[in-house]
Amino acid sequence: MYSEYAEVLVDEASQRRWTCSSDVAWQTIVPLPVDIEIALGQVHSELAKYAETDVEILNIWLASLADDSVVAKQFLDSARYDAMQRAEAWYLRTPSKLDRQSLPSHESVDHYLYENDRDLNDTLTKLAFIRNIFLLVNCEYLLRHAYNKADNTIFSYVIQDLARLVSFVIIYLKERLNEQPQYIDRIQSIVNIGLIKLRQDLHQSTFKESITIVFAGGRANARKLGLPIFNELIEEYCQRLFSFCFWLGIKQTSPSSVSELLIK
Amino acid sequence: MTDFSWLELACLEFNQDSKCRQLGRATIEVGFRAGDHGLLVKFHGDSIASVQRIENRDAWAAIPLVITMSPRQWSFYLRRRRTKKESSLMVFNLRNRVLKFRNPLDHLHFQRVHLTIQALVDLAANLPISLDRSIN
Repeated sequence: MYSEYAEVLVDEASQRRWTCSSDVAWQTIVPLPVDIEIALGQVHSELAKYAETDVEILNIWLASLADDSVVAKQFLDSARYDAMQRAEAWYLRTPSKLDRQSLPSHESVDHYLYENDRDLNDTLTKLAFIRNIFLLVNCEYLLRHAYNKADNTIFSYVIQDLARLVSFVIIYLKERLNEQPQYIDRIQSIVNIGLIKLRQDLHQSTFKESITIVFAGGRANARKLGLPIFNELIEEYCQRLFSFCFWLGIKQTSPSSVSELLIK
Repeated sequence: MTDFSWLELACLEFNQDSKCRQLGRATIEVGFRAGDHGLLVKFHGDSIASVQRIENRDAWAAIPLVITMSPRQWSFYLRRRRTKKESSLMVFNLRNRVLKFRNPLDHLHFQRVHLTIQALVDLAANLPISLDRSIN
């Protein structure tokens, strides 16, 4: 099932490949009020870091595959290319005067992703459930609040790319579960710990603050207009996360996670 | 009531349109529903392979992705899409919950090819016919 799925995804990836140099209408980007520009820069910088993490994890996965896993390697290779494209696109959207290194980012989730990275199954579970499903929902909301055609195009393409990667990881995990049904307890534990890490990041990082400014159309209305949209995003993420858990056979997920993730 | 004849026309246009093919191949079944009836559109490769009428309420449950709107909502969405005042289906769904998936993998499948499905809907929105007359 996993290798059959890989074949479909390899074809799809080659058909839907985009490049940020030729497919994005960069000329549609016009200057915005400074508070929105800064917030957008911080959001794009954070998203670019996510994409770099994807590249690193895909490298680890590629290196771990046996030589005969040709189709899976082809897919992961194309997924790595996609991740590099989105990293480049989002770095291009980050103003150069913004010091990327100094921005507090989602460090707890990042550390958690790399913790015990010898166990690939664990790393992939974290990547799919805690990082990329969250990122997919963020992209949908950022698409809704895109300020220009260039951002609209980038988010539209990235959603297609990320959905392919998440599909592949989920199918991979489903196959692992068929071989090792007891691994389901491990997934459940990873999801519960991952949500705690995500909550820590959301409370500490500037990402939440920046994205609420983007949603609200400025700092002045960030709390009143942006925060409720961000909380809606979090609820949407949790709903999708739990639907995947349920589909994989995990019946119990931490019920307090949703409300604890919401930013009061 | 809408008879979805506008969608059948759009499917014919889709198969003639090279821009749609440039978006990449897609193999997915999409239901377009209003009430209990509507159309099942089967995308296969770089074209639409078949369009089938659905009149039976039970038939919808087996379709991986169903876009459900009232006739008035279809008319509203397409009209606003034509005048570029409305976002894509994916974004429209965040507020209006018009997309129904069999399971979460089908949701991902929609996200993988959403630009192709949107291209069909946009062709329908831009048909040189009166959508109000055709839909209501």
